Amino acid sequence: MKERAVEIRRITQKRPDIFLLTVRSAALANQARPGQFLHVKTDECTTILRRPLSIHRREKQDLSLLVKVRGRGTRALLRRAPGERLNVIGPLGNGFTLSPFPDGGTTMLIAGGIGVAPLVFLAQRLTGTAKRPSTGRKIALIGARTRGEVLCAPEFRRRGFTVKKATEDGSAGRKGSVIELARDLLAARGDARPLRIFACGPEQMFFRLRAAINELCPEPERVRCQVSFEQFMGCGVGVCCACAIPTRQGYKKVCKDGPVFSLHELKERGTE
Amino acid sequence: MNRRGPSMNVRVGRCRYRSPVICASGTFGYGTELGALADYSAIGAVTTKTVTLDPREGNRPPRIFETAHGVLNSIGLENPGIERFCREIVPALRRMKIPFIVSIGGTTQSEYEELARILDRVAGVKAVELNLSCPNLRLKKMVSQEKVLTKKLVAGVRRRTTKTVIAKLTPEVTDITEIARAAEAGGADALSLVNTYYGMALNVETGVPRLGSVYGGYSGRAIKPLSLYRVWRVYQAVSIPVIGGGGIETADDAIEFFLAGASAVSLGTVNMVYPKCAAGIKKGLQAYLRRRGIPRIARLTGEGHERAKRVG
Ligand SMILES: Cc1cc2nc3c(=O)[nH]c(=O)nc-3n(C[C@H](O)[C@H](O)[C@H](O)COP(=O)(O)OP(=O)(O)OC[C@H]3O[C@@H](n4cnc5c(N)ncnc54)[C@H](O)[C@@H]3O)c2cc1C
Ligand SMILES: Cc1cc2nc3c(=O)[nH]c(=O)nc-3n(C[C@H](O)[C@H](O)[C@H](O)COP(=O)(O)O)c2cc1C
Repeated sequence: MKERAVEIRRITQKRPDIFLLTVRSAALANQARPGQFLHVKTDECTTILRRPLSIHRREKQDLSLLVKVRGRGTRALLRRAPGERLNVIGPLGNGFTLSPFPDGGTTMLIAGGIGVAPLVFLAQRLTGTAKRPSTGRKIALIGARTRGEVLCAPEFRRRGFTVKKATEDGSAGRKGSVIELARDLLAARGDARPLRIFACGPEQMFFRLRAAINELCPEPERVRCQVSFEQFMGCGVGVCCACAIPTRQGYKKVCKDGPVFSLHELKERGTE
Repeated sequence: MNRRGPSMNVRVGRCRYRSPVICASGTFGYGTELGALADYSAIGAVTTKTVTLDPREGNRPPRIFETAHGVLNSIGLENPGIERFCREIVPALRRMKIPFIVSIGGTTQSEYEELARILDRVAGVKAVELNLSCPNLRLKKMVSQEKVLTKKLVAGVRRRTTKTVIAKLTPEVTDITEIARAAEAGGADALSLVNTYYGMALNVETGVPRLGSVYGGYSGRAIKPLSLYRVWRVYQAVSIPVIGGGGIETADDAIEFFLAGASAVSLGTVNMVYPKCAAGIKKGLQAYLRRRGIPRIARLTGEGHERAKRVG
């Protein structure tokens, strides 16, 4: 973790409210692991604190962020220009744990909306550069409001994932949420072959996912499920204690203990 | 002015600091966690996150929210308690040779006294800062909103330690000079101004307050003029040194606080954004002194008052 001014290489608009921002830093690119984030100073005028953004993709010395425009900071970031320097601290956070996984098992990625961002880097790591690419079934579930908002399907396909979609209006894939899609798949499995899930999206999605696993998987405690969690953040490096979330072991910091948590340890907000 | 440029040493209470730039409590952790992200050589002292007698798990999240011009927080004094602080954090600070001030808090006067007593025997502690913005159990308001209690509490702590005692005051009072005088009368060696202002924000989509604890402390660039005013007023009212801060981001901001009467400045919110900011601000202060031919930073303290007299 280090503070750096990195060069902005490209800013590409993907959808009206979604853009890809690519920065160059060999050092950052070499250190970064899937699930980690950069704490980005988007601009000097309209914002004060940094904004956490997941590392979306790595290509050699370049790292990309996939950003949804939400408020002042993300809007300011979109207005930056290639060639400018972007002040970032990173890579931060624990990242996904990629422990050995049995060959016959299924790897399932579940993305809700912009939650797809860290999962593309994870898919890269699970297939491309790994010394021993994992075999077994690989599925990516992508949820969005409409067909036009489904993100990154080709990126997952290219890496050998079967892509399934869910849209709220039914314009692509299953009508409904990505969790309903996950429920269909979990119900259809009906056996206890190894399953690991990596998920990122709105918080409520996680608790509905946990309910689905508990209800539909024969041995729910054996399903390894890691989720990347969001919380308003201060320093990003573990000193201010602002980004606390409730877990079964008390409050934990999203920036330092996370952002990736085991789904089993999370507590629903309002139940702390 | 010697060849190495203007002297940046300052005296606050019973000790000297190698730099007048101090990290405000709660925004730099315990000072030890940042490693290469920070530039310790520029920091006069790190004020550690407020520590209490017993561990505290902190407030219900969300604990931070950025508004258009400032930052709201309600951390709720999450900390491991004084015992673990002394056992684990103090040795690390000493190993890293970081000068540090310990911020203490509590809900009763006896808790502050007990903390001061414990810390009096701990080597390396440069000063004890009383976070008087903690709600008092009996009064249901902050200690530093009440002058009698402020004086009594400071005096109680004073009796239990030979270390420098700094009283950190809330700006949320009708007349901060009254409280400042009460702290001075109680035996404080120095004052720290200011802690955060009360504030809140609501989500217009859902109607829900943005902070889990509904309201919290407002800090950052928005509060600078308000804080500067209080430092100015308190400088006129007391004769003990003032550590001034609230919204400082740049060297110019810091200079304003010196001119208004601060003997040292504290950086809060900006630390969370630029952990190395103390270095840039210290450098900026030095350049300013050099430009004006002022041999030491201490000479700048309160200069604005002289100028104001001449103009007025
Ligand atoms: C570890 C982590 C990784 C993230 N990765 C990505 C990513 O890859 N791509 C991406 O687009 N976004 C990501 N986010 C969310 C992103 O940080 C926020 O969208 C961003 O900070 C909003 O800043 P803003 O100034 O545009 O909005 P603001 O003006 O600050 O707020 C606008 C709205 O955005 C929401 N918001 C603000 N901050 C957060 C936050 N930290 N978490 C959740 N909601 C927030 C609030 O509801 C607010 O009303 C991530 C968050 C975390 C904690
Ligand atoms: C996240 C955060 C945590 C804080 N924690 C403490 C604390 O534990 N004790 C304390 O005395 N002040 C605490 N403060 C107040 C700061 O020390 C400082 O007085 C205040 O933020 C004003 O300065 P600033 O505008 O430079 O941030 C905290 C402020 C912030 C933003």
